[in-house]
Parts: sequence; structure tokens; C-alpha cells
Amino acid sequence: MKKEMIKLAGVFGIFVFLISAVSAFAVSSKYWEENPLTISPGETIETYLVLQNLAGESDLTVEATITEGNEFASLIGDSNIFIVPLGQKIEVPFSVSIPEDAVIGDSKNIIFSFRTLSNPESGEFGFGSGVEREIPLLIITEQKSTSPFSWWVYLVIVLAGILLIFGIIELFKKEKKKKK
Amino acid sequence: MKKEASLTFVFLFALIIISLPLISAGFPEFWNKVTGKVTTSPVDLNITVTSGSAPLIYSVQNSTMTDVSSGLNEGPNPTYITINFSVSDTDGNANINDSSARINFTKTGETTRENLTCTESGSSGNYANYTCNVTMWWWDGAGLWNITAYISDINSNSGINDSQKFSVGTTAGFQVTPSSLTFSSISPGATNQQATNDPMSLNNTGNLVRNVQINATNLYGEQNNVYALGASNFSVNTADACAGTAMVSQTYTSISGASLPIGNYTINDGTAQEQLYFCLDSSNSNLISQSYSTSEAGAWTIKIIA
Repeated sequence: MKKEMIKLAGVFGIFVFLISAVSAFAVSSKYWEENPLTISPGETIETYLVLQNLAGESDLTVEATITEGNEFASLIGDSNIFIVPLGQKIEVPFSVSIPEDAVIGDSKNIIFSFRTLSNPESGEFGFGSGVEREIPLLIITEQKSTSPFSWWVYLVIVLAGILLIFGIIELFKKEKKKKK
Repeated sequence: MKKEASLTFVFLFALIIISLPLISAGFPEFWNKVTGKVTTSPVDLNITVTSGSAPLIYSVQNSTMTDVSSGLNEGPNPTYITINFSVSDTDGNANINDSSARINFTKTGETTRENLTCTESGSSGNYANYTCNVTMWWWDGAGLWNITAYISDINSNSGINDSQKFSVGTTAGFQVTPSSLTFSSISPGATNQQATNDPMSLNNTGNLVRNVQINATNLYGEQNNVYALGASNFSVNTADACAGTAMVSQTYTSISGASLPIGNYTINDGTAQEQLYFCLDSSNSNLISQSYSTSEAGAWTIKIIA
């Protein structure tokens, strides 16, 4: 019996964990917690994330899914599978549409989940990489003039200017009269 | 007489209204200006008498500089930023000291990035252009960075322009090594079998602090897939021990204590690094002798999250 156990232990599988060489990839964004994507009610914005494959050892096949915010965000294009050649960056375009009745000042999140796709070969215990990115949204009023002043400030300045000119003219008149 | 007084009043009123936006430091300063009263504090003055006019950096071209608003390169790759600035000097461009041209990028809490040897990229008359190459690194923080360009002339007159900024975006990324982990042979019902060549090292290749999750799958028999090593038989630990965070099949599970701070992981002293240890805490006693792998259920996925 003892002999049988040792034999069994001896031939039981050897586990080999194989990862596709150095596994690495990154996802970049121009939006983050302190710099949210600002959008107005009824507006649609098209923008993108960036997939990087600068630190790996082979081309990457990456699957992108939106795990939160599907009701107002969607990937642009026919497929959610992206090939990222070694040493390159690619853009993952997506659009965001906010309904007309969205509340100004509300904030929302879009969460993207990216993972590398690989086909483990027979006998392998494969690992892939994943990156989750959160894109914060801030609902704002429609962006109009970028002027730092309100219209009434300009009105006051114009009126004051007219009064000033009027005052100067009157002063000149007085001076002329005095000279005469 | 009354008319003249009212005109004077209107004039003064208008003058005050126009002056209001120009008064930036508030009433106390305004009052001090009116009365001539000055604040009293000792001031050290260092007056250098030079000849000629100072060079003027009239343009820092942040709009044409290398765009990093969508993030820097992932580690270990540097990001080379090219930026130009333009200088005028009424004493002629020959009066500008080309070797003094420099630029730096600053942000509170971040290491200053600079180029102290910008090169002249063209000149004519009283004008000259300079090109600077600044290296930024993957752990440099996201947000607005200040640009300061500096130049001097051969008479030691200097010009500075710090009016421009640029935005650095965020990058979330990581690198996993080694490329393979191995387990020694085990017997059915074996417990606490650690991988023989762990830890698995994770390096933060971006500029965001991240946590770590793992999505595990069952390991099915290669010859007979009725038998399997369940994902829940494994645990992952940040210490070299078993009984770590138990894995759950097809579910992302946060690894307790695992996080990836930002920094230069290439120092290889633990900065911006995390180490994971894998353990087969228990195995079924009814397993048969064969190889078990992820080829049927798919690879495990190590994911970084906020």
C-alpha cells in the first residue's frame, strides 16, 4: 500500500505556470478624477483611451468592455477586440451621450475593463493581464463665452467711459471760457 | 458753480468706476497708494548694473510641443518632449548667449524635469528660436505642469517666461515577471504546496496607484476533464506563505494587501513593486494522475484597478 502511494505521488502531474514571457500593457487617458470629462445635457462627445504595448515582448490582443456606464457610453467600431503591435500605441475610441434631462452638476462614471487574450497551450497554466480604467463624467451647463466678465461689467465700463469723455469735454469748455 | 461741481463729481465717479477693475490687491493697498503710506519691512536689494537691453522670451510654444495630455509612455520607456521658444533682443540675436538657453517643467510634489542645454534652431535680426528636449518618466504625476524658459545675453541680462503650462494625462499599466511559475509534483489530497519559483513580481509602469485583483479559473485534466483542480484550491499571498487570499472561479478577487504605488521600479528595491506568492492550499483526494492546466477554462488574469 505504501509502495502504491509513493508511485502515485511520483507520477502525479507537474504543474507548470506559463505566462506569455513578460506580460505588460498599459491604458492611458486624458481624464481622471481631478480632470473629468465635462459634458452638457443632450450632448454627444467622441473621445478615446490609449492602449500601450511598449514594455511587452509580442503583439497583444486586447478585449475591451464597458462594465459600468453602458447606458450612456459605447465603444465606437465593429469590434471590441484590439490588436496592439509591439512597441506601439493605439486609440480605443468611444462616445458618450448624455440625455437632455440630465441634472447639471451630476457626476457619473464609465468603467472600462481591458484584458489580454491568450490561448494557453496544452499543459500550461496561463496568465493574462488586465487593466481597469475609470472615466469620471461631470454634467455641466452648455459652454458659451469664455470671457471672465459678465455683460453688466462691460455695460458699467462703457457707461463710465462715456461719462469720463463727457466730463473731459466739459472741463475743456470751462478752461476755454476762463481763458476768454 | 453747482453745475461745475456736479460735473466734477461725475468725472470723479467715472474715474473710480474705471479704476475698480484695475485695483487687484483690495482696498488696503488702494488706500496706501492714495495716502502714500508704505508697508515697512526690510528688503535686501541686489542691484546689478548691466549694459544693453535684456532678451525677451516672447513665445513658449506649448501648443506645438509633444502632446502628453493622453499620458506618458509606460515604463520603462522615457517620454521625450520637444518644445520650442522664441527670443527677441533689440541688441541683435548675436547678443544672445545661446548656451544659456534652458527650460524646466515643474509641478508641486514632483521632481523638476529640465533641459539645461537647449539648442538654437534658427535666428534672424533681433530674433532667435530655441529647441529643448526634456525627458519625462512614467511615474511623473498627472495634471498641469508649469513651463519656465530662461535665457541670458552676453551682458548678463536675462529673460524668463513662466506663463505657459501643459497637461500630463494618466497611465495605468503594469509588468509581470517571471514569465513562468512552476510547482513540483504533488500527490492527491496534498496541502500547502507553494510554487517553486515565485514570487511573481508586478511593476507599476504608470503614474497611478493601483490595487490588484486576480480572476482564477479551474484547472481541468488534460486527458480526462471530469477531474479538475478547482480555482478555490489556490490562494495568493503577498507574503511567502500559504493561506493567502482564496481564489474564486471566474471572479475577480482583490488580493489582500497587494498594491502598486507609483515610482521608478527599475531601482528594484521594492519601489512601485508588489510580489505575489501562489499556493495550492489543498487538492482533492480523488484526483487521478494526469496534467491539469488552464487550456480548457482559460488563463488566469491579473488585473490592476483603482
